[in-house]
Amino acid sequence: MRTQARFLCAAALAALGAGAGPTYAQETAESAGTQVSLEDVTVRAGLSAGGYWGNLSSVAVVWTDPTERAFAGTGFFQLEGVVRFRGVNREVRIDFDGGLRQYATGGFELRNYAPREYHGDVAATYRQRLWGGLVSAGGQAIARGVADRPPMPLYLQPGYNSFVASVLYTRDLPFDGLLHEFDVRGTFESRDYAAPRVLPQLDLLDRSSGEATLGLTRFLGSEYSTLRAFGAFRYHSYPRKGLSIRRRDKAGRVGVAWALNRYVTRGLQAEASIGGTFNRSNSRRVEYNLVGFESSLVKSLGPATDLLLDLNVTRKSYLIPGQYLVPGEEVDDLTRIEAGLVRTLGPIFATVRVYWKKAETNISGAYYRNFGVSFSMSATPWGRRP
Amino acid sequence: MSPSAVALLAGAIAAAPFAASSQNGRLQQNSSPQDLYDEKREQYDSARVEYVQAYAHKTELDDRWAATLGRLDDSRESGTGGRERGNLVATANELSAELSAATRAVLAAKTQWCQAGNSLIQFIDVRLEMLDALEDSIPIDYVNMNAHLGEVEIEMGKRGRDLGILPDSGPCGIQELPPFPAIRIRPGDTPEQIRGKAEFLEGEASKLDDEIKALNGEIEVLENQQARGRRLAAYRAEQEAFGRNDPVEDQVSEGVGGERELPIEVRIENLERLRSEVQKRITELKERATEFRSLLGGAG
Repeated sequence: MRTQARFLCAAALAALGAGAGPTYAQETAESAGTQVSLEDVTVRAGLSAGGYWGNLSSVAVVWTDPTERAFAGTGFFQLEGVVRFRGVNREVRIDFDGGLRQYATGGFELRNYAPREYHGDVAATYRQRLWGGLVSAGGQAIARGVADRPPMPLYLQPGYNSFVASVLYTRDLPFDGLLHEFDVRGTFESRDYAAPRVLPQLDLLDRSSGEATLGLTRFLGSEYSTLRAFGAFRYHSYPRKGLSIRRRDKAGRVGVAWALNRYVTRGLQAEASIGGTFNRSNSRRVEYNLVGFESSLVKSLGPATDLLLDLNVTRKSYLIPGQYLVPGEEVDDLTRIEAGLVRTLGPIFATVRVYWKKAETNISGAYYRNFGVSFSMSATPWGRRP
Repeated sequence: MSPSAVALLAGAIAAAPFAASSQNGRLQQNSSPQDLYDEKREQYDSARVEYVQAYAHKTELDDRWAATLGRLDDSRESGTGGRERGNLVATANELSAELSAATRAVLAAKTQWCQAGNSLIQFIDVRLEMLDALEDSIPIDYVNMNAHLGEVEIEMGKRGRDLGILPDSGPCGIQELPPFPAIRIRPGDTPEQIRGKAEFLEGEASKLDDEIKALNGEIEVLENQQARGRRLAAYRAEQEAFGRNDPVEDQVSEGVGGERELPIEVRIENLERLRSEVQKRITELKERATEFRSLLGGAG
């Protein structure tokens, strides 16, 4: 799929440079040609420490440990950046991101672990003004790996390779005396957990997904607020699940998102969204309804410092009581609270985050909790002015 | 929570915000602030229409001027009769005077539009602040006033340029440099006339100095926005690094669809380019003025 990402990128570049005819040539001449730039190449490093509690089991881990308490310290390094090819009314951008995170754990009874996560992500996006709106199309390849994955209660998402293709069209629709924006999006994803020989059950999580989303955003003022309603249809196919019939899920999603931006005048930004997912399947045991709430608040604490607060709450209920999804991968209820500070220190951004998470399943009172503190610094040695 | 209850809740939430605003206009009518708004809006609309008309007239003259000069060049090259060339020169002289008047009219209309627009925006801003303090008034008057503000700001070019909707900045602020003043020393100019020309050039340079200050202010605002955006992006990037490792997959939020604004760095680049051109122009104007004054010797 890396090949696919490269192909998408090459096609987009071809369209940018050669596929636009005389109008493009004229525009290009006027703007002194397509600009190519390497931007925001950022190096980020950080440390964190956290405690983990729980007896939630996970199908995606080889080992188990009788403890319900563990702790871990981590150090990580990350590199990211953007290559942008900008023409008149169109651009291609390639985002890249890669990193490594090393854990040192304690508190396990059988043995302690030293998991290492690595992550790589390349995304190519082509954007052009078209049909009175803006069209974006792109592809993304993600690779994630985890070595020496620990048992619960230290939950780490398993490694996988994912390939995503998406198309988005947005257009202004002024009516009712206000500016609105209509958007339609199609996304396809193929995710492969590449199960190791000792953990073949991880393949059960492999899936192909498609989603179509329609949204309408209402602009309530130039610097004030937006309100967005959206609806989506999602399709998941699990090729490794089911004996004679593959598991196929179809889900409807609806929701409303509100955003307030008064940062310039009052140093305040806020967002809140609430929505529901109604998952139906040819496997009755995984049919559920989910309602979720997400909110975030940003408050300026001076010209170079911001305070951020996040709250996420998810609640799930199954159509047939007593049913459940694979524990440890899709739990029923999740609550996440986080507070953080970010400060500009010359050419460096420093962040401190404190977070608490709690997850539970419907069955046997299984639970998972995580409390952590992290500190990181990032600098952009290329592509950005100090 | 039962499945039907979840469905009802989500449906009601999705429908509510879009049902709330349909009565806004009717509830607003005949109020005193509305009358004040109408009056200011009328002044603004009138100024805008005058500008559009003045600009159209100048554009027409520009075309005729270019055509006349073209024909004059052709006539010189082909060596055609002196009478025709004389007529063309006369027409060009006539058009030159008209063009100067039209240019002044456009600038005057632009200033009027800018002033009327700023006054209207100021009025709406004050009104919004007042409404903001009265909880009961939201979302009736507030939403309407916000809509008016958005409309005027787009016409004024501020948001229009920011969003990439309009190529021009509107009436306030310059987006491109006017031509260099066609002022030169002619044989027979008196020292007083030469001094006057030098002073004119220095005055033009001084006006552009003010423009530099305005551009610096605009760039500073954008750079502050850029720094804030990068600060928040740094925080979110750290938060999302390596995935969130939450044992749940269904996410609720759906961000606002498209990316509406021109990248902020492009907007800053454009303004910096303009500032550089203005600075160059100031230097040229001052050099030309110094040159004029040098001709005066000790009398400058």
